[in-house]
Amino acid sequence: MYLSDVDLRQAVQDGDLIVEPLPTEEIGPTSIDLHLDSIEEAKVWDCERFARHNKELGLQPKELNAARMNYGAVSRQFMTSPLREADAREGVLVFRREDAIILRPYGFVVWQTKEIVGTPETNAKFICFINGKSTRSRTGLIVHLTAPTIHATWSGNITLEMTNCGPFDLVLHAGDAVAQLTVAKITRPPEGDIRLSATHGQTSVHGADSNTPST
Amino acid sequence: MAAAFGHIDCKLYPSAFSGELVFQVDTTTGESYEGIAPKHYANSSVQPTQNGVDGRVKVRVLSNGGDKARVSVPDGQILTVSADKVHEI
Repeated sequence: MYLSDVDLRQAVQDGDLIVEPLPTEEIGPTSIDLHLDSIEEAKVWDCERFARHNKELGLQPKELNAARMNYGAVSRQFMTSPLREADAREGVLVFRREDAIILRPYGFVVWQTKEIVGTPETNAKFICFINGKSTRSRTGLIVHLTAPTIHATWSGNITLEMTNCGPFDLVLHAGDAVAQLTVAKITRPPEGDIRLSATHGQTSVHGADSNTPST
Repeated sequence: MAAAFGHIDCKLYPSAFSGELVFQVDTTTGESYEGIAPKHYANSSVQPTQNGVDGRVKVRVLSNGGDKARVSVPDGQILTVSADKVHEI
């Protein structure tokens, strides 16, 4: 059962739903708008550096072991701020122009929300979902790639995996409302870790059944 | 059975995002796991640096018996770690 605007406000007021800061005027009938954080929170993968690193290790330059990588280590090494326009060679699909990020068709940028979103660690009553906003979607803007769920008991800034599937160069600014949050009631508070069953019996952190991080 | 909350000893590094940290945990297999967590799940006495600082990250303790414990870290990964690194709340 999804929450209406009345219940969304009540849930925030009761501390059962975390949305900080709460965009009080941007609560729709069944959703809350989410906004891009400062432009410094927009990041891209430094694929050239990654390729050099792989080559030094004798690996295929562009290959990334997606399900078995140590994400923290990889992101720490190879996630960086987009280049300034003047420094971006032809063909770069994401770059910064003054206070805007330009996202060209098939460019990929990872950008966090200004809002911290989620539910309390104990006695969580809700699960949250990130969705695009329809008018933005019509331009080809995708704000998350297959990971829309904010599991019960987790909270934090939401990382949007954004790509441009449309024909235009999209211009994005800090504060833009590009996504919306919907919230549903769960049958009962989770007892233990909600994702335990997915990795039960796993003994290696790089096991084939490694868990997927939250959005 | 309900899982208990706790903290686990780890190394903390800055993340690409200001609201997150990278935590590095040693597992009993000898492998090291590096995950990400919002800052409020981690703490350290000094600001994390690129060289890493000692700190702790919040976990759910799924089982803790003998020398080993099974914990769930904030990004959802389940790890088997040395029990003496786990501090239940």
